Amino acid sequence: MSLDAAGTSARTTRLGRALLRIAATALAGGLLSATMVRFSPGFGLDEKQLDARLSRESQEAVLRSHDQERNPLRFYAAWWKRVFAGDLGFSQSLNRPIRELLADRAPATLDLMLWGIAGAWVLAIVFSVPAVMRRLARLAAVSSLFSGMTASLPAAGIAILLFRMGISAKWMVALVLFPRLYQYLRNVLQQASGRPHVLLARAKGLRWQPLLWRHVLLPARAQLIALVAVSINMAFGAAVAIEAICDIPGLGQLAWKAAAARDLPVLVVLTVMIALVTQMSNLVADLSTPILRSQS
Amino acid sequence: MKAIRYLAATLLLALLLAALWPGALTRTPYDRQFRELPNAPVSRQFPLGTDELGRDRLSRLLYGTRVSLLAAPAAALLSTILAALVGGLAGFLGGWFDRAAVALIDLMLSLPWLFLLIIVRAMLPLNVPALVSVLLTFGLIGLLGWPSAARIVRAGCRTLRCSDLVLQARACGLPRGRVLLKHVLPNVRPILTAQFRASIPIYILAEANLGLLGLGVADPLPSWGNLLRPLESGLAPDWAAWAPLILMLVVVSCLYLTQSSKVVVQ
Repeated sequence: MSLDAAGTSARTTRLGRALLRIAATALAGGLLSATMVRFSPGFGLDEKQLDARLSRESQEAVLRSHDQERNPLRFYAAWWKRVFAGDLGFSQSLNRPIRELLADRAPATLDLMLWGIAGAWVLAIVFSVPAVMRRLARLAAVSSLFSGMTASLPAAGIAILLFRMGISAKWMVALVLFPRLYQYLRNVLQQASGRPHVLLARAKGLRWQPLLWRHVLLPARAQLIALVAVSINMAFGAAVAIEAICDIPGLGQLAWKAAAARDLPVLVVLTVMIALVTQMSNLVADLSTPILRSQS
Repeated sequence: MKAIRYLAATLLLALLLAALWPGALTRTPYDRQFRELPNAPVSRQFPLGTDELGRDRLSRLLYGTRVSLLAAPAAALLSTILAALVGGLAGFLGGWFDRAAVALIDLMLSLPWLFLLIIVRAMLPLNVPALVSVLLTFGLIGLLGWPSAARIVRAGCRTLRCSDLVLQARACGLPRGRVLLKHVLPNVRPILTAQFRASIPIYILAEANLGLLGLGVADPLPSWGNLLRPLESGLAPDWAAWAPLILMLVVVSCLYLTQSSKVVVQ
């Protein structure tokens, strides 16, 4: 076997193992959330049972409608069987198929997350690059102060303050992500710009702009891609609080409403979906690291 | 940097003292209602006025600070102990336990922290006495907060497992438990201390987030989470600015002290 073929085979095996691990993690996450919801107080109760207009038979039928969910293992097995048939289940609390709910709400959350992540990256780059590359002490102090202030307020608090100021929810996500991204980015840039050849180039009088792309950002691209993967997870966490506060009909608000109503099928779908998205983004970052290193 | 660290420590100490002995600043209990004086302005009797139920805002701010400043370190201690147990055992023992622990850590870290907290807290009883709500909220934060710390502890223990001192201890016939307790865990203590300190501001913010969403500490007991809630109504008077301001000061102070401890670890 040639060296190239051996390398490809090793990469395929690693990818297969990683995909298996991701599938197992998502499966376990779904089962865990199904079990938690099953044993939470108030599970299986339905508002319709309080409706005095319903006959006794109807109320018993309402009660029986949750029977399938009482055994979490059985529910989870049946749920996966339905998922493979293309049916994600039905939300009892919102009285709609989950597939429809996801289709309606996903665009709002995706829009919020994408713009929020982009805004946070722009802010982090604007504050960190000149502070590190041009060694502007005052800008570094101001950006550290700004980052410290935003990091010291809860995501929901930032949402309320900006909502009252009439600022878009996308900026709320951006401001929640900014301090984390800024700190990581500044550390990465500091490490990359402290390398001997970069220091030598600066000492010889080379301007920082030509150095930034070729000798600072390109060598640090693997870490930056990993940071993008992490920011997806952080953005969804922020979106849950922001959508709940600002009443935005997205997936975050759906998670919030489903948790409050103990809506088991919705929570399982969301948990599996979020676990899969996070793990896949981490996998892409992990796989890109050796490829990028071999290119540099 | 050193001056800022001293300033942060002094500020935290002053706030902690004020929160532990609120009687020095106000004699009104946090839950006493002056029904004839709702939304009273600032006066000598009420230095920050009263809320919409006629309760002394200064008293509530001080007691709320006490709840957050005492319960967050307790939750941080709980999660650090869990991280030491899971991460320490996984890193030291290896094998199937390590693989199972890593899978659990991966699973918990793949769900956003706030999403996980909201989902789990919403599944627990919401209509509970105030003190139980404190225990539930901070207990939950502590129980769910260990994975990131456990990952770091595991890495530290894995390195130590192959170190000369552990090999020598095992070659001398010391049982595994004793090696772990006497030689491995003491060597990862700086990591655990740094994780403990870093968790405190994160947990204070987590409680504030839950409180703002109505899932935190229940009324009438004040906490920073429910003290920030008047901001949500849009009719919050000026006093409401005090709660976020003090929250910011505490978290920034904790972050500065955490950074200094990280430097010590490095």
